Amino acid sequence: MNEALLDVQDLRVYFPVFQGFVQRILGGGDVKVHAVDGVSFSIAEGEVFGLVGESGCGKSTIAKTLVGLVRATSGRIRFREEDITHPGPKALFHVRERIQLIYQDAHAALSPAMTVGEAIADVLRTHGLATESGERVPPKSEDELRQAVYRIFDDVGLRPPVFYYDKYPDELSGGQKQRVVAGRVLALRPELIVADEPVAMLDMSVRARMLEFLLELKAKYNLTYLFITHDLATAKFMCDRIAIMYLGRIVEMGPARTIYADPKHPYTRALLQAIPIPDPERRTKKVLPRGEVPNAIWPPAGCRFHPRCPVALATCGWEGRDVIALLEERWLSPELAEREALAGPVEEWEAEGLLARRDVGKSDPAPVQVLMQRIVQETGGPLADAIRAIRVEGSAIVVEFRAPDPLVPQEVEGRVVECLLY
Amino acid sequence: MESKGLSVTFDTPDGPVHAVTDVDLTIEKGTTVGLVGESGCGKSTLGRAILRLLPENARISGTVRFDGTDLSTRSMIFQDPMTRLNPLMRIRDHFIETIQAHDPGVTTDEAVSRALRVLADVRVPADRMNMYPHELSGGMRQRIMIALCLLFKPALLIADEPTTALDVILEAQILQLLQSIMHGYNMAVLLITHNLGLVAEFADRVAVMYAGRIAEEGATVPLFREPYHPYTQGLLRSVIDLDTTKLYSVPGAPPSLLGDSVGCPFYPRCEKRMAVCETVFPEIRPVGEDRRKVACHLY
Repeated sequence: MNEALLDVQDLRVYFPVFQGFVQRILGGGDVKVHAVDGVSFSIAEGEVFGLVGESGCGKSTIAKTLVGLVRATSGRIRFREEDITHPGPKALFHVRERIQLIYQDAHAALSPAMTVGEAIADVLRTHGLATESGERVPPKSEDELRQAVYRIFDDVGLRPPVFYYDKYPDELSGGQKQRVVAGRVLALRPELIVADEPVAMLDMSVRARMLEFLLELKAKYNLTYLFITHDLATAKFMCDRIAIMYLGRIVEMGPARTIYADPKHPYTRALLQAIPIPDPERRTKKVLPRGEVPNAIWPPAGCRFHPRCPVALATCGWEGRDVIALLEERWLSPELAEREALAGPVEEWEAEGLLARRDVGKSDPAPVQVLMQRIVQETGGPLADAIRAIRVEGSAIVVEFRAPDPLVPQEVEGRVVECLLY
Repeated sequence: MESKGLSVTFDTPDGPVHAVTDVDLTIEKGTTVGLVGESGCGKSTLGRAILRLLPENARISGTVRFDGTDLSTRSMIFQDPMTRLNPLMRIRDHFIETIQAHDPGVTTDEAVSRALRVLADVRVPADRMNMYPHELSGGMRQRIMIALCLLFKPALLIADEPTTALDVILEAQILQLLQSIMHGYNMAVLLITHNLGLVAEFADRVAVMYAGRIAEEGATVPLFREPYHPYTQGLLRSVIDLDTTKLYSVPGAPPSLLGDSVGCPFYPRCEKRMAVCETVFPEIRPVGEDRRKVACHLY
């Protein structure tokens, strides 16, 4: 195995949430979006490393942090042994020559007022022309510059280059624009290309062509890719190794072949199962995880996937708000809502860490306690097992959970998994 | 629903754009028809034409016949529910306004209780009624859009890329929900999508659109097993799934729909083209079993 080209250790990126004036005066705690929350991975030279996950899992934030568009809150990023976590302006200029980003939306990445030839010439004016020796020299003449752009167009398959130089992005197809963006990236001769959903906006019939093109470039220029996608099928085809992300954490990471052959994390399994199979003769009834990806401002305790996990244990991180979610789901049935009205409504319940509480005011808390005990018993499962007590505190009913077991990434059959099942 | 010779032309400064040409499409009660094609093939325009939701510069010809004539017997959901919900209105007011627009005699209380019933059907908790659209997740918003459609028990729901903005798990959840609701409401669905996987999993019949026309139409299982039209064949080969070991893409790009054209619109990209294809348009006609129809000179 080659040495790591890029090494990321315990990266955290939090974004402050804007709060209103009154809230700031009264203080509502330190509210932050935990976009990336303790992520470590490294990419070897010549590798295609995939970051796979659903929207909001933090994969694009990692991409932006690597090229200095977003500041890391903590952690360390090293590129060829050099610390680039918080580069100064000059270092950043050079980081961007070595790490380049290809976006999902090639149209938005190109200025509509600039011809695509100019878009690349502009980069070469700023950063200079790459030479054989690896040095960059400013172009001697406009003609030399134009010839350099032609060579790049030729490289990325925009032929004949003369035909494309004076085109505006508007006049090109989605695939052609993505090639212009690739050309602009290659003009810098980067070592690592971060491709953030590069084919998501292309039509199916031309998507393959773009992926093949990216693989050709990789072979030709000895590139390393960080390939970011939500599409497990594309990642399987493109990547040597993958990391599956959920809510700011890597839940499973290892060789793509190993993970696809036998996914270990319940979230990886859920993702794989949800992919529609383009064969009507293989229709199966899918068992899907409950609900949606929770808010990254208050990620769930313990394993972040536990509220949706079909095989969760009592020790996975159950907490006060999970019991409120249970009541909400249960009372979707109007009959149950009516029969159990004594314990409701949901809005009167408050969660705080391992506790959920509801103040019953002047009424008698004892029957509510009994009702809650019955609801929890009927529900059963890991949530019920995780409850330490349902008790009365003054005029309030309190549901208290046991603290979760600590969660650490484990080496399991050739990959790393963050799950208490292993 | 049955459309005959349905065509939509947009008048633009550059000339007429033939977005939909001569579409015959039948959707039977309680069934799901998948309408697939790439961006710009006219699939969304066709969906809107059925609902008469087109802008003023659209010229429509041909007929669309329903069992009932009331427009509320059909309804539509879209890719991005956020742009369809009013950001300044609570969810409850969307329901009240919609119900009272159809029937001004309904009191607010009645409207709210009707709203709660459909919300329970799409599994949205009652307290979401008092929220604004931005306070809800993408999945909740799409469920609410579906609930708004269900208010009038439409016989046909047109779902235009209903899950494209959603992640795979949510996509599967929403489509499972749609499927279970269809049965309860005895509703047919026209599922407009670029995703062949979704069609394979959910549709009873499939219509493949190319350059504003239907290239091939048939029952899902035989069509996937043996696609006849070279475009359908190419599209199916280009799907990237977990079993993909070799990539394939259809050469070239879709044609411009500006102005008139002759011959088969797929001709320049077709690997099986013949001399006749360049000059003579292949009318769609029945081929083989299961009421399959194909627009190709090979058959």
